Amino acid sequence: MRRYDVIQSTVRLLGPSDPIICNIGDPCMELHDVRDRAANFYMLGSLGLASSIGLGVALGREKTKGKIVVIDGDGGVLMNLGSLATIGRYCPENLIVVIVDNQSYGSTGNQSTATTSGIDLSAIARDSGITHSTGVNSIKAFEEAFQEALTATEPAVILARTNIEKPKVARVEIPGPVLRDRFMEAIR
Amino acid sequence: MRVRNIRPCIAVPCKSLAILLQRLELLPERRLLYPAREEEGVGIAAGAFLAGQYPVLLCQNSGLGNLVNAYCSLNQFFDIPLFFLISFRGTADEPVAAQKPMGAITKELLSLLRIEWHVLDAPEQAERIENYFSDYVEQRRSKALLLPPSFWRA
Repeated sequence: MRRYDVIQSTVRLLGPSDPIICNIGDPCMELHDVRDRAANFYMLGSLGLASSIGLGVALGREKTKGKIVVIDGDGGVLMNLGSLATIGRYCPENLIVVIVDNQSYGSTGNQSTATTSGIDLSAIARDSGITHSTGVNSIKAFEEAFQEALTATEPAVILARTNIEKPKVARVEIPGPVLRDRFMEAIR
Repeated sequence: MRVRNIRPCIAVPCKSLAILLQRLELLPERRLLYPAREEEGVGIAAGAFLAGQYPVLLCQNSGLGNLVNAYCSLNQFFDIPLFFLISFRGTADEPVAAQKPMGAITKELLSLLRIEWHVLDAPEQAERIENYFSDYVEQRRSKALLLPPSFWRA
């Protein structure tokens, strides 16, 4: 399974105005290529903070229907492991964190991350209090897990183990304030 | 405390902030959140702003160093404002020597980050917090209020 497939399934299973907070680098470019939606927040800097931004949006929309989806990576989550503990502590029921684990810093030349040594980030999430946490190895299993997460009444983590393949896609060239305004408008 | 609309309050503790945090814990409408470190708090605050809220980040000035890249590549890049209440340690009467180096560069660091800052150095100046917060909401510009030990002397 490629990350691109995971992103494609995520977008297909969501409504057009469901917020997606997406990790910096290739994931943003692939999400943009799959479908450029106003409700996509392309986090074009601040590696590590996708799940924190997602937590902030989720807690700010506790009274609104619908899920907030974060697409993060193993590198990003490892850089901000405390975020899983914070999410587990405050437990927003409207948050889904998809961790694409390709065991590498894919956007910077595929240097290996700590998950190559067998660390299971979905287990860390579970021990952090996010009980709805699962790992998947195929796109079929991912879609099932994602659909379950959409109906869950608690935060969910889905660890999608992917390969490092990536299609050639274009950079996101939209200015930050434009992305901010259209995102805020779309999720209002 | 009396300022309306502040929510959520995101805090990495400091001894100077302890009494304020204790009070905030009793006010569910302020939604006090404790991240594990300051840059995580910057991410949560940015998300809250995107969801239409006006958050505040409470931390020690030592924590400013932890959030520099997050502030630049997230807040500056997307033009997302943030309101800071910062316990200003490492000033002249600081008993903890390790606080001094960060104390010495705090104002310059904020200026370098192009964050408008003000020092409130007496308890009476707490009244000004409300005005600065209103400016942050209306102008959508970041503000940092530096609160040295003299501010907390009640």
